[in-house]
Amino acid sequence: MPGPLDQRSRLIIVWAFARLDVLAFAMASACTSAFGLCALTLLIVVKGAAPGMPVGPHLGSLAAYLPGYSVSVSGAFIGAGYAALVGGALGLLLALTWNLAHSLLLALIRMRATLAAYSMD
Amino acid sequence: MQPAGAGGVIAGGRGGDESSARAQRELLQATVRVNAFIFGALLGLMAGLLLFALAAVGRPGQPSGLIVALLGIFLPGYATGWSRGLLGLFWGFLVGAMLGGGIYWINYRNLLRNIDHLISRVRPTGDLPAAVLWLHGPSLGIAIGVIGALGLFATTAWLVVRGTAAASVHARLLAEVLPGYSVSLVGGVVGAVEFSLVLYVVCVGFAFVYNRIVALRRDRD
Repeated sequence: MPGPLDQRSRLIIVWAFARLDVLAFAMASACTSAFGLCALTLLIVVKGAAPGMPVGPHLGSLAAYLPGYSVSVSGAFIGAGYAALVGGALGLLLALTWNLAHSLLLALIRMRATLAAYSMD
Repeated sequence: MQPAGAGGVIAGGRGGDESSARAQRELLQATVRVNAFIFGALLGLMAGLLLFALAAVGRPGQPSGLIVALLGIFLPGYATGWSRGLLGLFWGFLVGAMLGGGIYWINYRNLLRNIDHLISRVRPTGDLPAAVLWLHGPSLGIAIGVIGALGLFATTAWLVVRGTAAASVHARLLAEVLPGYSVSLVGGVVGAVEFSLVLYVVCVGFAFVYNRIVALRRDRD
């Protein structure tokens, strides 16, 4: 039978089952996504296009999903708003499911330990 | 910024002899295997559902259909429509799970040394204290940067190997944001290095924002 865990091993177990801060993860995802799309759009705007050619036609096709978005300075900030919403929602979902998976795993381990403690062998 | 650790609440000392250190490494590897599996499964599920949704709403000739068609170059059988979307679900889960597992596996490399600084808000609750994770930006940046770089190089190499590099006008557009990138093996290496640097900076920024908010909420509590 394994002996009791030392302090540092216990710390490793605590780390393994530590939760993500859902609000912080969602907000960090929102900020990163917003900054990413805004910076990408502004980069394409600054680089420009050859005379007579549209600026960033592929990135601009995002307007099919994000009404009001365009490859322009104002469009960069509108896109940042959308990206914050989408990124925040995905971050929220990932953090929630991560925490849920760990809660379920921990519950399973506790249940097995309880059953083992009452073993009739 | 390296956040102040809360590990001292639990960890009194630095371990001890060699057998204790080896036991801790094995324990860490076992917990990392479990977490890598969970992270891979979550990322795989999200990627699979995303690909399925894209295929379901995608229409040929529309921008949504173009994204699906481009992804279909790398994911055999994937195309617009419900039935082909199921293949996307499969591919997305497979690729997402591999990427997620890989990211987590690389991310843990520095953990044993830094583990005191990776948990916050430890509250004694029953047999196992409840804690909140800190993120280690550089480790996360290296993990996602390496996986992203390998992904970009692999997809570029695939276009070269299948002989459609010259016709890959969409891939070539990456040179707009990654100077020096081209659809060639050398261009793929240049692009991969630049892409990994971008991902590293993004991850460090992400971890910084996350850790700041966690610290603010901890101080408020």
